[in-house]
Amino acid sequence: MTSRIIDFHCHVAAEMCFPPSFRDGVIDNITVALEARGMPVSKAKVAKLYAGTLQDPLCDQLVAEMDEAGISEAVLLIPDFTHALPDSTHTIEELIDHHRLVRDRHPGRFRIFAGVDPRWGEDGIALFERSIAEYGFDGMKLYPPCGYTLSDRLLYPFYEICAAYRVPVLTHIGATAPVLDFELAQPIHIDQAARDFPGVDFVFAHATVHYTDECAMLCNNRPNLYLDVSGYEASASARLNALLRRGINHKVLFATDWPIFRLQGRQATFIDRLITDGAIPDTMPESERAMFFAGNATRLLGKKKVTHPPISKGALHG
Amino acid sequence: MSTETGTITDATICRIIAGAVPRAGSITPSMSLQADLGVDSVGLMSIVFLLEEHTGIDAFEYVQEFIAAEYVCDLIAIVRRGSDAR
Repeated sequence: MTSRIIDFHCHVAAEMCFPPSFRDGVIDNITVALEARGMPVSKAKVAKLYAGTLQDPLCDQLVAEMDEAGISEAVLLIPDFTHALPDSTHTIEELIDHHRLVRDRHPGRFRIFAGVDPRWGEDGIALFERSIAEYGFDGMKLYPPCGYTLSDRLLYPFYEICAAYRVPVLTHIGATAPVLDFELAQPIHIDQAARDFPGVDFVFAHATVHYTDECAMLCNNRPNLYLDVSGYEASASARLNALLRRGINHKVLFATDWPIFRLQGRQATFIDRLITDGAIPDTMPESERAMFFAGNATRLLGKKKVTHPPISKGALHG
Repeated sequence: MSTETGTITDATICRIIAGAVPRAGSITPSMSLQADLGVDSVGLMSIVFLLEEHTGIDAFEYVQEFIAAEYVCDLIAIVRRGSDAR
């Protein structure tokens, strides 16, 4: 299909990364869907099956599936739910440490984007800068449904760090677990920050399925805005096909959102279905396919400055 | 693969699976769950719960196998292992 593939949106498949209240909301939605199909089952049974998708804490299975699918690298994202959801079982520091372990276990396979809720204040800013400068992470992950918008001034110290180190910001867009606030996750909220930080590249997640027109419009008109296509696995091949015909393929990043769709197939299945389901337009030139599958990701990840004087107080002191 | 173990035949298991895939016609062991039957996440869960109800297997002993299943024959193999274990 193409010589190189980078998956720009994955998570560690482990219960420690998703607080119980987050998982409960997902299970509620599944239970409602099952009942509607004439399959009334207890939440406990659904929860047990759903938990089965989150049993790859060291990413050994993910790497095996990446190998099978021809995916050379993946970005592992750390959404910080620990401020918004008090039932989080691990601190954000512990989650960051776990992701370092995973990356070091699989050399050359993973880039890590750390999320730090901006309401953690100076400690959070220092932790985020440490993740870039000391731990070698490659970007920032934001999750606005946790209770902030993308142009919230509390985020500006983080954006200053991203600008200094030339690392991208990837943000969740659209609905998510029902315990969180959907309204905050609208792409237009990026506009002020994108103007104020022209040297920072921002990536909208799930743009195939959430606010597609708005994301595409913003990416077409702001040079530092990009989008990833994760979520196309949910019967959205036709929408991805339309997105890839909009003339912005230099802004579109291949992504899967592992492990969210594990019950629908393997990573190789999802790669194959891009062709068999017609998601990739027949008319899409090879040069644009190469950008979509890896070139755009390589460009964004390749801007990083590995050394820079610390921006935050105590960034390198823990 | 044996076509019959005890009273559960491949055809019986296929009929049970069909109960969760209402759009499908006749289901055969070689069919792909996703490509041929369009099984999504909720659909796979429905299949698992139906197989548990109708065959008596303990589905939760085989969660990872169900997640990895790609074809109808993979599900049949899980049911056979579950039946043998009882």
